[in-house]
Amino acid sequence: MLILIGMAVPATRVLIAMESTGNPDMQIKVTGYQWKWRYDYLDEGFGFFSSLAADSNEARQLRSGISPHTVPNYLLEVDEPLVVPVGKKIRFLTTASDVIHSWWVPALGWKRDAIPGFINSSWARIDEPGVYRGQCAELCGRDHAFMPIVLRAVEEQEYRDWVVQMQQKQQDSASEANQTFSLDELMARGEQVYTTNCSACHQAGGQGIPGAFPALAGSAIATGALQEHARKVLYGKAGTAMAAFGVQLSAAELAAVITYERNAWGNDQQLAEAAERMGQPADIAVQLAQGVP
Amino acid sequence: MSTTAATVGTLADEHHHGPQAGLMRWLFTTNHKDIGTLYLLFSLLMFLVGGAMALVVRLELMHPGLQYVEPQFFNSMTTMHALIMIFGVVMPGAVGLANWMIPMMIGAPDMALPRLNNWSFWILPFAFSLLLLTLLLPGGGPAGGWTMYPPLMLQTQDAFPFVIFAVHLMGLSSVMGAINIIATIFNMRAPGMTFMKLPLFVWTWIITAFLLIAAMPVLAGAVTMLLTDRYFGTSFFNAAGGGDPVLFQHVFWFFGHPEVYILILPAFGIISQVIPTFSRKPLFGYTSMVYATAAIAFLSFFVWAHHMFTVGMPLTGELFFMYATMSIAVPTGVKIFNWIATMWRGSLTFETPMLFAVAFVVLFSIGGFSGLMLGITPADFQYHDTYFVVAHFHYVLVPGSIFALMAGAYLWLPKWTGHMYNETLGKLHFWLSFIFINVLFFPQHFLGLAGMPRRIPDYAVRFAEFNFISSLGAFAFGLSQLIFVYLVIQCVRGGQRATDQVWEGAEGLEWTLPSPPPYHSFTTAPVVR
Ligand code: HEC
Ligand SMILES: [Cu+2]
Repeated sequence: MLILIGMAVPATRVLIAMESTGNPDMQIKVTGYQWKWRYDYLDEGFGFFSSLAADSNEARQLRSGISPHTVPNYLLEVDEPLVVPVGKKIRFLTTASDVIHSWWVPALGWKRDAIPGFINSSWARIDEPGVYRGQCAELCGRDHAFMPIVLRAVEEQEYRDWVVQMQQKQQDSASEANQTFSLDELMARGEQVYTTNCSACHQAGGQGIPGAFPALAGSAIATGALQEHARKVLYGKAGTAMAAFGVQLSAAELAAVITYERNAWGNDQQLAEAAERMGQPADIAVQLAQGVP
Repeated sequence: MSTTAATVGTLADEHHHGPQAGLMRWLFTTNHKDIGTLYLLFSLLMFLVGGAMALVVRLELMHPGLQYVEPQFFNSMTTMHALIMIFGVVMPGAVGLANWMIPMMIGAPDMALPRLNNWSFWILPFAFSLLLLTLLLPGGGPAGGWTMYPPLMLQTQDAFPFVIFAVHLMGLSSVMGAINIIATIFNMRAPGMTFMKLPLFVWTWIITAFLLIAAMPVLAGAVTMLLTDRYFGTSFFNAAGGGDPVLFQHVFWFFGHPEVYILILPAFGIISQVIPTFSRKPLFGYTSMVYATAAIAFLSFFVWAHHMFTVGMPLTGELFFMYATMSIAVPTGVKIFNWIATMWRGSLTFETPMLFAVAFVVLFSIGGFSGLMLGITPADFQYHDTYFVVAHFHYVLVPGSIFALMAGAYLWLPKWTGHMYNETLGKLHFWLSFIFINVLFFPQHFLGLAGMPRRIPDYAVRFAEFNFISSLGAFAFGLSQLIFVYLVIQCVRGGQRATDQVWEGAEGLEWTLPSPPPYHSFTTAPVVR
């Protein structure tokens, strides 16, 4: 009994401190997606997705033949890490767009569920510069094991430089929306976008997984009218794992991935008569502006 | 007391109808021993099926990288393994023992509601066939975890309605079983068998049965809400429609935590029969044992949220559930103390049931301590959903519930069959199980502390060594269980004749009957003084 009380007192003290999320120096919104994270820097006005690094992704395929031991930070590396300044009280606002995830960096000493429709808040102050790694901790479907978290804590000045760089990137991609691309440019870009965003379900060869994820190779939608195809990608399908990518990708990325799907895997041979071969960012922007179909 | 003895003594045992012959005996039986046997065999079969699934999981986890199965199939293996082990092994196993032993322990001829008894068993093979057959459907079996959290569970493909229906059937079966057990104990006790004379196994089953009746309908409600969310456009758990995905977790764990005690209380009961038998002493602190069991059951309804500290609750809620959780350590501590005190200065012998019981006390305590660590909210923020949790609940469920079922099976096998089992094989089974269960689960504590999340088919290379050790332990543990299967078959077929009392230190009505006991246990009620 005394031992229990002896444990309860410090536990209570720590818990109260952990739940005191007031007065942060900065805020980052963390959104879980199947199966990647999005980070929005609320005070700086930019955000980005963070997915499993390409080399890990290749090695983790069933019987890939690549030894995990040869991949640096296997399954614990991302394409775009979260960067934060040291010595600042950061409030993390966690939420999710599809199913429940849980954002966990063990070195911070806590995890917080990311729940669709809810925003949870937690805080951390990192004093040591360095790279901290973690993973999604709540079962979120097929690729739950493959949505790591990499957090890079850097000195204030380095952080400032990084923010400027990211804001620039964001502007660049916004201006792309008005450009016109060639088929080759769209295909090259589209393959990249497809690999990071779509291949987990629809598979690299577009063959899908029977019973779970439809094949895109030869799919009536991917070889039918462009608008119908784009609608499926932009708005997804409620109640299934097919998310609304209109809110996740830029207009240029969307145009690229849709064009890629229409021309890869022999789909170009099967395109319905009079169906457009490619889409441009401007077409997508128009369709998005029209709103929900 | 003497008058009752006179009246019941006049009931002569005239009509002798034994079991029917052939398959019909098992299909239509209303006999508590036949149904008990069916339950126990079903439980053993499911133990092998669920165990094979666990081995698929451990095989894939043996080395980093994906070598054998797709992640989705892996997820459906972990999901099905849990559903089968909980609803198909531990619960039917405990009900099987209750069916066999409760009428004999309280001096009754049979269970109070024999037809209901038949039905509650025969639902189970249908429920589990339904569950297992979903593996063949397009999209595979359920893969959202046995906890079935929405919205993920709602992404289940064609298997979805079948899984929900199977869960309904399992719930129905266990509620009917519980009603029967309560009716039996309340109405069929022999003269003089007052409540405070009931063997502890009977007591733990009374309390478990009430827990079942209170908890299972809650689960049924929760999964029905999932069903209507999917097919009838309700939005109980859909935030976009004004619902709340966390609501499911609250409702689920309001069932789920009592369920934990449904799985462990009968085990406490079995251990409380085994330890006095082989210590040749009555159970220390019988009354406190009864009250401790009731207290645990009562408290189990107020701690559900400790399974979901990380969903983000108000501070006061987190504190309440932390204190409530820690308080369960008190009655549990009373039980452990009483078992140790029973052994203290007893004339102990270590036959197989006793070995399993002693291992239970030691290993369950490890699981209890890790549970206490998880109950501390700020610590749980770190440990939740990691392998530390996997290690914790396997320590309370395998060397807890499963070891207790084993102890019970060894204790009562000679009574059921009339033959002594092979003690050498029994001891071998125990020692292999004991060693490898620790090889299997102890390293998982370290994996959790090192940061490995649960329910993942592949992991970072830094987790490789402990996973490898754990997988070796899993295969060795799994294979050791085949010894038990062999031993049971051997014991049913023959062996040294068992006496009525079987064990030197055995006390209670069940040991006054012949081994094997007559088809209708006590046709003339015995008198307990
Ligand atoms: C999380 C898994 C998942 C991801 C990632 C995913 N999809 Fe899908 N997709 C689905 C599912 C499930 C469907 C079927 C929806 C339905 O039932 O209509 C689907 C359907 C489609 C269809 C219609 C196919 C047909 O023939 O019905 C297209 C086109 C499509 N997805 C494109 C994409 C694109 C482009 C991406 C990447 C930007 C993507 N998907 C990413 C799961 C996914
Ligand atoms: Cu996730």
